[in-house]
Amino acid sequence: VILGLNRRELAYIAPCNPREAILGVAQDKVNAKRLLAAHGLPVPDDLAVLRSHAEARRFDWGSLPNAFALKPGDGALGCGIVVAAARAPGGWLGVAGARLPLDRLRLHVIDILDGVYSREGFHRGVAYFEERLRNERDLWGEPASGLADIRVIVYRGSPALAMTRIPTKGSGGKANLHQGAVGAGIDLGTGKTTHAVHRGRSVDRHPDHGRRLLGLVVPDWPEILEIAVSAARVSGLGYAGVDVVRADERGIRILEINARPGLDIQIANLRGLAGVLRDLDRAHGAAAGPPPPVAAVRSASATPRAPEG
Amino acid sequence: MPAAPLPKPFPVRLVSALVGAWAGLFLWLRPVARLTAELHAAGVHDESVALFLGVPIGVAALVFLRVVAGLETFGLFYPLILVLAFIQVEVVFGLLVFGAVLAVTTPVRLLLGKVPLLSITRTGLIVCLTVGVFLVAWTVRARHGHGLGGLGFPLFIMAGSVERFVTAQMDLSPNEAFKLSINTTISAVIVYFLLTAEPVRALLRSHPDVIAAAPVAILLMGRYTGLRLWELFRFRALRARGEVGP
Repeated sequence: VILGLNRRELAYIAPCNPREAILGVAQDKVNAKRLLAAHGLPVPDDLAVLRSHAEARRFDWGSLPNAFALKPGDGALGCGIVVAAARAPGGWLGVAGARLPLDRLRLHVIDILDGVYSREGFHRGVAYFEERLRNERDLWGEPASGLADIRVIVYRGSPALAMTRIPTKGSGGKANLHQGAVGAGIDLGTGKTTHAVHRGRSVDRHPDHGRRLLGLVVPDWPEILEIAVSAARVSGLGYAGVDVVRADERGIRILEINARPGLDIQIANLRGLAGVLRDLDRAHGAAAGPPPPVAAVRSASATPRAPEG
Repeated sequence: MPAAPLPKPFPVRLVSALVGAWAGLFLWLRPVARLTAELHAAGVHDESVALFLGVPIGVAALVFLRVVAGLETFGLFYPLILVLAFIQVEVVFGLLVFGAVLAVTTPVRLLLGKVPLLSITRTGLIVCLTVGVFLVAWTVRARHGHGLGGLGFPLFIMAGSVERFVTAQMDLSPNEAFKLSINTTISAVIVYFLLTAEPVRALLRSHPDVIAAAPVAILLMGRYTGLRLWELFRFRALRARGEVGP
């Protein structure tokens, strides 16, 4: 059964995602990282957090390493993210080799603070620097076009659907399906890719190097699933999209938690989400009734009768 | 097949009672007819009253386009004020000017994107440019002997919309911003034709209290959980696999 935007809002987000969790976790990534780290979950290391123009003026740019990611604290769809890959005279170099002079980075920080990348555009933003995560090679051992991530929809403490988003040359290294990344649905039990889409069409092969997209096993799958489920539980969101990466050297890291995860994951899996969510409701023994409030899900996880798995 | 549960209970009886009382109130007292008659007697222009009464109907139509058809726009306010601008300057001229403004400002915005400037200053420059395009359009119109007055209000509307479009191009991906801009314009045109259709205008003149139906319709659409028309297309691959809507 296909899940549409109307039903997602009314039946899942409104009752399952409390306002505090949306504002405090999904729209405040700095806070979300702190919360996740406090629960022992792996997040990228923070390098610096700038909350005001005064802090931006005082900021010592020389303290930054050769590679970093500069992000808005409440951006959406990956907008406003700048990745520096190497130092260059007068600044840094971006991933594709574009120059990132210090002046431009300073202006970018001010734009973020002025709320240019904030969801509503009317309130102040926070700019933060974190370590740059990367993959030298993709799942096939080919040179990677960017950092692939894994999106897991977690509903009331159980994984519902998952996909991996693989950047292509056409997506400019971004793992966003709208920008041309490949989305491959993952079988939750085995971690194997089952179906893939690229620019809205079903595909069997990677558009850049033509290697088969189906039947691959995502490495460390059980661990990734477990971390995604724990992250959703910590976030207080009853219906969450958790983005996880497996980076070289650093291992599994949680990138962010979304309160309104996109519905394209259904196309990547060729499977409707509404049916999966309904089955999960049944498994929880609440087929006709409302799901337990998130607080109850959290306390349930502390008791032995937790309905996980 | 049993539908997925709607988790939050809806007070059906209470809402039905309120809607009934609401309908009764308007059928019995006809408050809108009384008020507009008074406005009319005081010499307020009929056209302004009609424009005003059209707003709830237009909003209900826009909500329908969003929730049932799936046409995502820049919220409700931007398409709505575009409709009002189109009503003021007639739709073809309005669309031409709007298209000209976007055609001129988009390349300039792309050029400005290469200059390191604070975003808000780019937007400010674009709005100034919009005024220039308007000045030209206004003059061309005047040369052809069309009414000279009445462009000030649409100018502000369109300058505001252009600002929205431009900031969206910076915030969102360019494709997404373009899609939303087109959708906003399409919905404004649809609602323009709805509100200027003679049967609708006649109904609003003779029975202005029908606008009380608009909030009721909006309320009902607020509980619609079916797939949007656009989603039938978006998820066609799933439907081909036998997945159905809720």
